Amino acid sequence: MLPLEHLGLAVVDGLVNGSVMAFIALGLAIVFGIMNVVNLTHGELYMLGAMISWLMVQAALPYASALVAAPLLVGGLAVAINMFILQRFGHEPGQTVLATFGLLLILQQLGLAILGPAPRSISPPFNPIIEFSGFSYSGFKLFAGLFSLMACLLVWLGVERSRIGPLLRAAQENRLMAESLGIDTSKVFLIGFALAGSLVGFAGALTSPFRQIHFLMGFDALAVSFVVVVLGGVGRIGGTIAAGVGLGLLESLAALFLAPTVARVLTLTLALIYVVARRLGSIRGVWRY
Amino acid sequence: MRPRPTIIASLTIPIILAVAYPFLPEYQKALVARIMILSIYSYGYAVCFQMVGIMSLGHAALFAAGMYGAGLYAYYISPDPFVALAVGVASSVLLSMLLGVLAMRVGGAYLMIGTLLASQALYLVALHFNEITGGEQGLVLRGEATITGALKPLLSELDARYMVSLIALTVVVAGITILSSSRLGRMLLAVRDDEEKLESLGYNTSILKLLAFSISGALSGASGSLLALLYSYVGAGYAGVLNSVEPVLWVLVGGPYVEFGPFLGSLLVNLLADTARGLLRGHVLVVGAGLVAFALATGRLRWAYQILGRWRSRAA
Repeated sequence: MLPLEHLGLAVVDGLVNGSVMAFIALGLAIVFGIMNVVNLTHGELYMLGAMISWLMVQAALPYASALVAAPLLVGGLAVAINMFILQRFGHEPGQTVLATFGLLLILQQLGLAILGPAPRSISPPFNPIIEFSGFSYSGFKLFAGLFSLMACLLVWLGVERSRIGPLLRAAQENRLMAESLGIDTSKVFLIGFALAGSLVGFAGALTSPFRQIHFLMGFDALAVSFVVVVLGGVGRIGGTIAAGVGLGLLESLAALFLAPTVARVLTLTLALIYVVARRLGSIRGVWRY
Repeated sequence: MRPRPTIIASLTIPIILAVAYPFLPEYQKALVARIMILSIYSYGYAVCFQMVGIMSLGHAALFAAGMYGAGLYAYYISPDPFVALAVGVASSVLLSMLLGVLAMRVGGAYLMIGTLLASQALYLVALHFNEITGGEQGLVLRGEATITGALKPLLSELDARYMVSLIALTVVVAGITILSSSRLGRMLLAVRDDEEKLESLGYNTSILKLLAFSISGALSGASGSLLALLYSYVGAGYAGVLNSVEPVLWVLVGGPYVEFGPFLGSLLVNLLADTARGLLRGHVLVVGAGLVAFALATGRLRWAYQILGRWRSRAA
């Protein structure tokens, strides 16, 4: 029997979750998609954003202050990781994977030390219940979803329309040529990491009132972000946004009929098939990985 | 081309371990026995990474396929550990052939993400069927279903673990030495060094990659099965992503000789992790810090980066 009465809720929830997923993946779309750096710490940066938000609420500071502190601190950490580790070996892909995986484990342990093994939660600063026809929905989640979508579109426009996008691409594609044309590539990488880190830190703080804050939450965020970026087409921010929203909707609709783990297995498998098919269909040389 | 060690030379490690056995204290015996089993997994990973230059981030799925194949057979079907071992190895070979098709088709970061996705999906499947698999908690095998149980009249539990691990390690090291100096081994190295050249000479590189992936799967699965059958435990924790990444570190620490490196690497990392047990979850921290340190120590690892550096050109 089709649970049709839940369809409206599933669609709204899917769109909200999808927008949030796209927002979380946005930083990775810049660092991995455009700059070609396989940054495996992305998920942990998200966890840190949520953790900072929890810490500030614990310290009786207003939630809004977390929305300022998290992007600053997480952005700073991302810049530090870039400067002190990744820049040392010129973002060489093999070393980057090893180093960022190592950092992933270390940051995860930091999360465990501060948050403890049990999941934490904070209550949203405002939460009017919004009535739709047939179901009601959390006002804060709706706000977070809309805000995520707006932020994604703004960043997309900002990167595509300003000099930032071309600079990021130039620094990645031919560092020597970019430098000989007078572009300070280390500054470009710094801007990319600062932007990506503060975006994902903000996403962590924004989603913390309706997600469980747990030291292992980063891995899931990382896996989903990679899937979203790869599905959307590496290097295309618009594609990332579309893939995030689409995947959120798909997963939410699949959860109507299937258990959540089965729905997740299904999405992972579909993403896998898509990656392989896409790679096969692409002409050699058009896609650098 | 680097000269390959002879079988006698490469068996130094098992011989040392056999001679050292009577002199080791209890705790170290148990530790070394476990490391020997895990190093078989490390050899399995090395066949993939060092011999053909395929970097997978989903080997835990192969390890867990062996573990579940053997463990579930012994738990549900028949408590015969030696048949269970065969079932475990067979199931991971089967899975590795499926994943190997992926490895034949895509390369570089796509392969890493692909294997990561596949193993994560299988991990969730293991958790989903937790009435059968026991989920994160796992299953404890009954005595008669394990190798230690079968050898009980002859050897104590500790002796059985050590001896069986030592025999398995000896077989694997001898096999790897024969493979790496054989014609097939040279062909696998050629795939790693210049796939296109080998292809243009008329060799079918896809079959070679699939073959290497299956050998790698057989070894990873053997390691998982032996761990299940010697320690009477099967759990989803071994299917997790950390277990996919640990062999990468072991192989990198171990160095370029595929005959010795995988064992030495897993020995060093596990001894270090064992001494760091007092820290928070010392093991994880040691692996993390080790990875960062290795990435920064470029010069020592030129051989690995030559393998990894080819992604860019291969994917382009």
